[in-house]
Amino acid sequence: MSTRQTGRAEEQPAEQRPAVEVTDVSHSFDGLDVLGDVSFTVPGGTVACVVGPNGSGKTTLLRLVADLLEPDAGSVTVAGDGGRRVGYLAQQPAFRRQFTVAETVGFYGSLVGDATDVDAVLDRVGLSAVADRRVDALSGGMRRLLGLAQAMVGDPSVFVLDEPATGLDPTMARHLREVIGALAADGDAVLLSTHDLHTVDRIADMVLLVDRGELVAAGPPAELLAEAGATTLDDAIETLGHGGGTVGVSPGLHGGDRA
Amino acid sequence: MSELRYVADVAEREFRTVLRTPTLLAVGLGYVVLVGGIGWLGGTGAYLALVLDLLTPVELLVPVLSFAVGYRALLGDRESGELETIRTYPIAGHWYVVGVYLGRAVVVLGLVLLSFVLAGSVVPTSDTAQLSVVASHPTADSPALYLRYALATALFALVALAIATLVSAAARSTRGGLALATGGVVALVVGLDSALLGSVSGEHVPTAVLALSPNSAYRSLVLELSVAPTGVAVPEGPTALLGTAALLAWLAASLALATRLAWR
Amino acid sequence: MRTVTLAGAVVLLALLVAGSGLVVDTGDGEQLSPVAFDRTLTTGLTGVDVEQAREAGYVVPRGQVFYSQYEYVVGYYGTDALVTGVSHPRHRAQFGRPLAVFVNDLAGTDPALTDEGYVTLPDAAAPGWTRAEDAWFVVGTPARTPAGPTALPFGDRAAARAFAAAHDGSVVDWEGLRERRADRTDAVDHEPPVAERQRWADRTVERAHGTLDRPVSMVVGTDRPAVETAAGRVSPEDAAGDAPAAVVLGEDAPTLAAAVDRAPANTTVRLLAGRYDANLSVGRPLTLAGTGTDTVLDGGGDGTVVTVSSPAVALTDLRIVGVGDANAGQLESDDGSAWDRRIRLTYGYGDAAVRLHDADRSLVENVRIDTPSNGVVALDSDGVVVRETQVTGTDGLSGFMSVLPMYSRMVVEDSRFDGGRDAVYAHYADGTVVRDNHVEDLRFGFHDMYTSDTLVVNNTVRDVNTGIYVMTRPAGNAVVGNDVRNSSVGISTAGTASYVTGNVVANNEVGLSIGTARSTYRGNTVVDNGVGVRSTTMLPTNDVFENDVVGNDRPVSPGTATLESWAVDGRGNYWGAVPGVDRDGDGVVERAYRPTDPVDRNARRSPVANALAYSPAARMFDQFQQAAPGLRRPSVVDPAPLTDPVHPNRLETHNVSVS
Repeated sequence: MSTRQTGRAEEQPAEQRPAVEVTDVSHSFDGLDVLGDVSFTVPGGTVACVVGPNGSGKTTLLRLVADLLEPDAGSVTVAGDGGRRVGYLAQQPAFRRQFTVAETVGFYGSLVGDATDVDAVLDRVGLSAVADRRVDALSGGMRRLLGLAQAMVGDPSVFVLDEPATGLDPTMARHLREVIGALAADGDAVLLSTHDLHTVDRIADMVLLVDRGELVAAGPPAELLAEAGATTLDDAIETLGHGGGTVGVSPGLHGGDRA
Repeated sequence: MSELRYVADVAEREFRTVLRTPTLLAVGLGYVVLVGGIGWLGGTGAYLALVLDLLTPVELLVPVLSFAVGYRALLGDRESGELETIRTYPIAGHWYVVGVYLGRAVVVLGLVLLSFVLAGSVVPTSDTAQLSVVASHPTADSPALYLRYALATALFALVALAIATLVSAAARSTRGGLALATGGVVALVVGLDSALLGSVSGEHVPTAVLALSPNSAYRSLVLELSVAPTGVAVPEGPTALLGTAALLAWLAASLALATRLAWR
Repeated sequence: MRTVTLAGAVVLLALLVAGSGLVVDTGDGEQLSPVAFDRTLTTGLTGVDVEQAREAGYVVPRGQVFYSQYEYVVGYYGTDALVTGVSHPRHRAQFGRPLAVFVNDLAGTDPALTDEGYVTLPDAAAPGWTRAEDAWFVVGTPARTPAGPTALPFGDRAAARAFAAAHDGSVVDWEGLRERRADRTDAVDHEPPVAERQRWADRTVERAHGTLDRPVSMVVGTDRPAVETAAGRVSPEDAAGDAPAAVVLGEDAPTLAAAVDRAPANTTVRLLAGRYDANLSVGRPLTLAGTGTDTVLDGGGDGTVVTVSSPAVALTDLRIVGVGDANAGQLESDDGSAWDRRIRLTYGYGDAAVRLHDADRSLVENVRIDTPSNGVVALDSDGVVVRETQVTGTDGLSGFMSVLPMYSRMVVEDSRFDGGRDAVYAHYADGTVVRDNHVEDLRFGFHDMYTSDTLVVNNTVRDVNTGIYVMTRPAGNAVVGNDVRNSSVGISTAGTASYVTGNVVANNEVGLSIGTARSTYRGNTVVDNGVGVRSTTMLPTNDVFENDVVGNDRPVSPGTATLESWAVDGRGNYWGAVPGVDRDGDGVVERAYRPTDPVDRNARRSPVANALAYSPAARMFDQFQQAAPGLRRPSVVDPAPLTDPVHPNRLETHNVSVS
């Protein structure tokens, strides 16, 4: 049984309204359980970071929220009205190489109906300078920023970003954090997965720790630290994770930003 | 209707994609040059003769062109992952596929018609020596025959592209797509007709079997519309209606199946 | 605006334009209207028949057909020919179906029949045209054309019924007429009627030779002892009466003419060796026999030397010189008469070594003629034989015809013609046989004007303009087994239902020039010419097959009409080595050969062309390019080229390698 509901605008401030409500969601591929019984809510105005080892089910969870997968059981409810509800950034965002950055955003804009201010969107993600550059001439980081711009098209109130910081240089990464912060400040809910605990440190209002398909911990970073009795997120995750010991967070990520 | 708007935008994206892909442009140019060249090589001064000259090569080349233009339309985006991104937008899958199809169809039809303009220009420009002392008259040959042929071929191209789109929707990898596309062309051009040839062993074969092969349906349509009116012997039968219906059915069925497969 | 919308609109517009093709009703022929008959490509009755009818003021019903795949209007003399043209598979395959057929409308013209059944119209009215399917045809009346019985078309049923009632005929519609015609078998016979015509010629020669057995009534000479000796040697059984008269010219008779005048009919006059002043008229059946070239009749360079105006006159073993140099008689006045009449008056009355007029069954044998104008002219003289005769004309074209049958059916055989204009000029000389002659250094070897059913066989022609030249529109001629070389054109044909078989044309600028309709070209050897075969016909309905066409600079020069297909019953021609193979060993290459196509033509010499000839593209073209021939650019295709020559021995003599 799965249900998916459109959230109703309730008489609450955006910060308290649940923008994403995941209830008892399970999912499996080819009989292999990937997610089991996951429940959480993300209120509007919140940046929620999904962390966990590779293969723990982070991407599946994000895809379920983005409505790219139907849960086998449970329900996913995303707030929003008629237009685009979830802005999605894929782990490896790809765009047709034959088009320019501006054309690409313009195309996605056309899919949501209202005229999209392409310049404004590009400005927000910091791609104005390369607006007329063809996609195949973009660096990996720029392509990810273009993906972010794409996610912002149609002004959704929920953002699902799969590894948005990967491949960004420090300046870009900082810019990304600013953009995400701004989205949350506007009352949007941002659900992102990341390996980069520095990012989590800096922007997460909420951490969702996934391991082996289960949500093993959820809450503000401070709560997690307290629960684990740790001083760093790294240690907290290690403590809270299933196997103890290493949870497969690659050593490089401890350094935070990667070039 | 908002669907129509984004259908047009999707079509626009496909159209430009093709125009900005040098390989496809080369294929398209090759097609136009080939068909136009065949027309000029034949150098005939009559439209009927031109139709007969073009019939077989065009029947072979149109599926090749359609598959070249169409087989990556959905597959490419699926492989890159962009199709997934598109699916997070509030659009209907079938309208999206329609848009993809239309955008590529404009290219294919444009090329097919352009090649016909090129090939057809040989007729009025061929300077066959006229005997001025002998009265001449308009033969049954007329541009109308050629126009009908072009129309039938356009329909055939649409069907071939629809099948190519279906292949594109069904394929899950480039290699699989290539294999399916090649198989599709071969099936259209040889396979289905071979099967029909095998079936035509008895005296009484229902005309309806022509519908089983788009190529045969198309060919019978041309023979009936463009060749028969001039007195070239063509067996009588309701082939024009049947051919058209068969082609439309192939078109609709392929597209319908493509939309189901594409949005999975 | 989106580009795709714009492009889509353009495409849609183009499709709409294409869609307009669906609403156009193609080729129903309703909009077609008849054209002036002299602007059609005419066929049907022969030029002779048409001309005779025209001269006499007789009506020949005519038709005109607009074919769906042929841009020229085809005119038919005679309803039979019209029906054939509409129904014959050969015509339909070549020109498509008839879009519109028009026939003469005799309604309101008040047609009458002469005693012979010829149709005349009062006041020389010219009948108009009506659609065949709207017309009514009166059949079974005595009505005829010079070619035979005919149906008469009327645009009005009542008029047709009235005419039928008046002449014991019946009325049928167009369909009915076609069915009647379809009942008759129109078997295509590819065998020329050689034997039959040879037999006639043999009989004719035999009959003419009867003149050689006449008793000798007179021996003529210039030297008395010689004359008397010769007369004495005539045995009594060979002599007319007791003994032949010995006539010494200048003593017993003033001139040869006076002497001959004395000879009784049906006797032989022997002319001893010597030179005779001769402007001779022979008005009785006599045989003038010389001793060979020593017996010289000298016309003194003025007028005709021997004029024959009696049947069964024989001139043998003579030499004739001193012929006048007037090629043509003088028109007494230009009375605006028909061209053929003018020909008759002028060509028929030029100076000649021998002029035969009303001289049926006469014989000219072993006569040597030197002439600046004509050799033997035969007017209205059937069964005349010219044989073993040698005519030497002047160089260049200032001379005239060596043998000139007009309105005369004759045999010309075993003779030599050198110089002058034409060796044999046949004018209204149906059934003439020209065989086993040798011709060189003149204009045309055999020149056919308005002459049908001839046999031109086993002649050797060298260094002329055109070896055998059939003009006008005759029918049923057979040109068989001739050998024409080193000329501008070997054999050039016209007309219908003719046969050109078994000839050799070699080293000419053009070997064979085909201008006929519905005729047979078979078994000819066409080698080493500039152009092997040239097509000039506008109605390409000929059967061209089993010919050897090799070693020519260009095998074929296409005509001005349409595509022609040269094969009969799956047998085409031998073109040397051509692209393609014969897998089933039936002697036919399983790939069409296009002698007018540069790729096919050069396939043997150029490796590029050879490779291209085998390309799938070339094969693909093969499929359909033989369809709708009437709409095709003029070209020739042989759908079934032969692997082996038809006459390999003939090719070997030309050093054409047969591989």
